[in-house]
Amino acid sequence: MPDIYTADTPSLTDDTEPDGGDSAEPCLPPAVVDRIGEGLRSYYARLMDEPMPDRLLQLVKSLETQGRASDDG
Amino acid sequence: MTAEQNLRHEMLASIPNLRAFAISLTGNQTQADDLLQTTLLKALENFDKFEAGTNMRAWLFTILRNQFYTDIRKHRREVEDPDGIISGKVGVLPAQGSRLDLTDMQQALTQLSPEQRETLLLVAAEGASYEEVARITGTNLGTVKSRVNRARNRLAEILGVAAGEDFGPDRLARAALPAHSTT
Repeated sequence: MPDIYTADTPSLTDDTEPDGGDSAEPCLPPAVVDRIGEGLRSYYARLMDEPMPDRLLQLVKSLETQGRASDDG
Repeated sequence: MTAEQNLRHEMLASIPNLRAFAISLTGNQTQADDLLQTTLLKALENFDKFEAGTNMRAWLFTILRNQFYTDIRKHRREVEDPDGIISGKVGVLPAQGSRLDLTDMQQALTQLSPEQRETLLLVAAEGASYEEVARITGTNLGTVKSRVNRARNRLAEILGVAAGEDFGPDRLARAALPAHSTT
């Protein structure tokens, strides 16, 4: 397995549950779950539209160009 | 198209998602962009280690979140209170009026632990399955389920979301109405 994928995935809080176990937290009504989901999705969608800084655009550009260069070769 | 070109295209297509995830995780655009840049470079260096047929986007998310925790560990002094680390770094997002609910959500997310935050974002915003999230975050299904549940409960509490109620600007506007208003 590639190192980077299995790299000991660190976490800060030890809230690991036994597998299959569930927490004692109350389950929210489905309407509330939906509302939170909608809020998160629209939040996320706006972040995806945030303009990227030049340094990242340049990196993306070089990725695209490298892709094209190897397309040709 | 060769396999590597395919991967490169998939990588490019994942960038907006990775960036949204990085901003949500760090609560800070500059830090998020550093994280994204490191992630992309690491992925490029390790292309040969990517297992063909597995999910490229999940692989990239794994690299990004592992890097996030590595960076946190490097700056140990910032993590005396894991739940508080990000709260010191909010307020960097654009603050136009139209973004009120965006900053509300950003603020609310900073009050979750990083583990709850990443888990909820992957499930609710990224649409990943619990199994995928367990693989990405290196934990088991039970932990993913309970983190999602805790994170939702906490967000509902912070944002004051109850069934049939809006949150964001509308709620704030209603709260600002004088209680004795007659019309």
